[in-house]
Amino acid sequence: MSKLIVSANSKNHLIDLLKKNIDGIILSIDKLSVNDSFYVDISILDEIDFKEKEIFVSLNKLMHNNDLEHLRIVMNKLKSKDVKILFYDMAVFNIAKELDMVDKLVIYQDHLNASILSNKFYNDLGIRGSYITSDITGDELLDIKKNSNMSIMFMVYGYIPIFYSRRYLISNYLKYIGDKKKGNEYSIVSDTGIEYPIDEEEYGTTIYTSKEVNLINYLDKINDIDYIVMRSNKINDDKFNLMVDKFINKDKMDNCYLGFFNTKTIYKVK
Amino acid sequence: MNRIELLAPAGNLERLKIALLYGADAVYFGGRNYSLRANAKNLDIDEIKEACEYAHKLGKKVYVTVNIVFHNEDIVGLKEYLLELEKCGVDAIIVSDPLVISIVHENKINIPIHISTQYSTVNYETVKFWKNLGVERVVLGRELSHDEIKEIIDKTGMDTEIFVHGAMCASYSGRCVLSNYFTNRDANRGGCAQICRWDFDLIRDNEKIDNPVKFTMCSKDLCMLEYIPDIIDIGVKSLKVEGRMRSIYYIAMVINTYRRAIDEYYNNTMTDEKLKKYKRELDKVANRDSTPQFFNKFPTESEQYFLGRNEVSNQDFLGMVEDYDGEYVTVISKNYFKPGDKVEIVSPNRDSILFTMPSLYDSDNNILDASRHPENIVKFRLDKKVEKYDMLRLSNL
Repeated sequence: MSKLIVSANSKNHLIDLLKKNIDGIILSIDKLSVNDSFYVDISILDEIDFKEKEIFVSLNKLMHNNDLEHLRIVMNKLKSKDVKILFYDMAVFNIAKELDMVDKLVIYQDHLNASILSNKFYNDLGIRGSYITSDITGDELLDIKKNSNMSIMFMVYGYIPIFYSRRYLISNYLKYIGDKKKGNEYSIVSDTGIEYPIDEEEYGTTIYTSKEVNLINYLDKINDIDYIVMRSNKINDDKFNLMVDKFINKDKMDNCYLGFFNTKTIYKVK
Repeated sequence: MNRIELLAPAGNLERLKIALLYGADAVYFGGRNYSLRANAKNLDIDEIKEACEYAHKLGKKVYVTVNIVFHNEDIVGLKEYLLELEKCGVDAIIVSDPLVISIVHENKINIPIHISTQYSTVNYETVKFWKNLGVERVVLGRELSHDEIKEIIDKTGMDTEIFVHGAMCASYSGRCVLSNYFTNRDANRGGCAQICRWDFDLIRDNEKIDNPVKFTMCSKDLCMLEYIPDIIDIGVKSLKVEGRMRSIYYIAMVINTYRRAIDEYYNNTMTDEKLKKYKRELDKVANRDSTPQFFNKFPTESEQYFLGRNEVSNQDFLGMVEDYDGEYVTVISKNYFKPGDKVEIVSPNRDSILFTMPSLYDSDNNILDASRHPENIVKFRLDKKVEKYDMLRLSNL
């Protein structure tokens, strides 16, 4: 049976979630992670009672040279902690290897790493966990699980980041039209009328899916997946807490957005 | 001294030959499968073999992109394909999914590996990771500044390649699947529908920002011509031009210009005036504005396109020389031209020839009032020597 891992929108939200019957929590580390609503310093690991839940620390930023010193300091501190580390950039692996902590790593590359053999490549390096991209189908996911020695994580609820740029796209546009960045929430709408949330952070701009993916009706199908993940980013605390309860109870719901879970992409159009 | 490599795109054999003739040291292209331009013609195995033979005779290199993000279903036939590429003698494959590295190593396939820009390698630790795996070259992410590239090279000694010219992804390469979610076309398997070039309304706190200028992610193109000396000085090994789906004319003109600019640097003959001339050359074939993007400063709104994105095709290209018999030039026409037009013939080996188009004839020597149709054979008299693959264009001088 899958373990349920969640992320939080604030420290208070985190404390609320830790009271629930969840199995673990994702903590995005400030300056070293992206695509989240709540970033923390690793000192939080000593400040909060995590009630023996599993802790996944996210270091999922694409690292530039000037991130590496801070990254090394943070990883050194994480070495003695009972945590797993979600990462995107192989700089994290290189430093983990040097610090003899590769066994803590979970490869987490949003849109890469979509096959059995790609995961085998990372597993052969000593990496034991893989947070699989949401761009593949449920059947592909299960094939990867069946053919892998790794602990597999998969997002079952939340907004999926579908575009990440180093540029400040909202600020650039607003400056171009003589406006300024203000307010809290932005989204973009094309001629199709569908709205996509867009965030600009210190490290660039992210666009998310138009709706939150919700695989609650498929929990039995993916029961062999080691960790299922619910992401709170862009969802208010009350709604998210309610959804966590529903996932714990394996409720059934109507009109759920499934992303690519039951849909294959195409790439040759001629 | 090992000179920097000029690496050109080649969507088919004709473009490959043009690119090499006009000064590329190496070319890159995709095969029929496993390449990120799934909807380009690309080359089959026989053509790849021919490409290698042609390039190697000239002492030049051939790199083949095997740079999709693989799904389970894509892996069928990959090993056999890599073995075929080895037999063809390709000089390297460009990969983004590391499973290809595993297959190459496990099967002892003797092909050097270059890491694609699609992996967005942007720091020296990640470059060291690839180096430790036996990778020969990394194509760096396009989000890097001069100082970042220099630090990577200084700290790793790795062969690096950077893009210097052409279209840009608005995102970090590999981290955009807008195409998947908007159109069901898989961006990381070669189906990118270029959603970043669409227009959008921007909504702020549930209210549409009312402005005739629409929100877009679209970036201007990349052009690093003026930074060639800096790029060479910091130790980059290869300068890559984007554009596997571009025309032969575009490839010829861009490669010819970069070739000359690189040679001027090594010969210590570059001047401000020449640099301006080369920049004008590139502007002539461009259909979009260009900037150095991240290389010299962090991009702002000036590096993006919000207006004026009319990507009209270039009509200046009149035709390509097929033959010269010492008196008549035979040309395969590409666009409309007529006697009296001011015309320029551009050659990879000589300065341009400027002249007024004389009488035109068809292949049966019948006089023509104009060349009206693309791919027709047209002849005219010329007292200056030209060669096959020289290009005719309208002169703006």
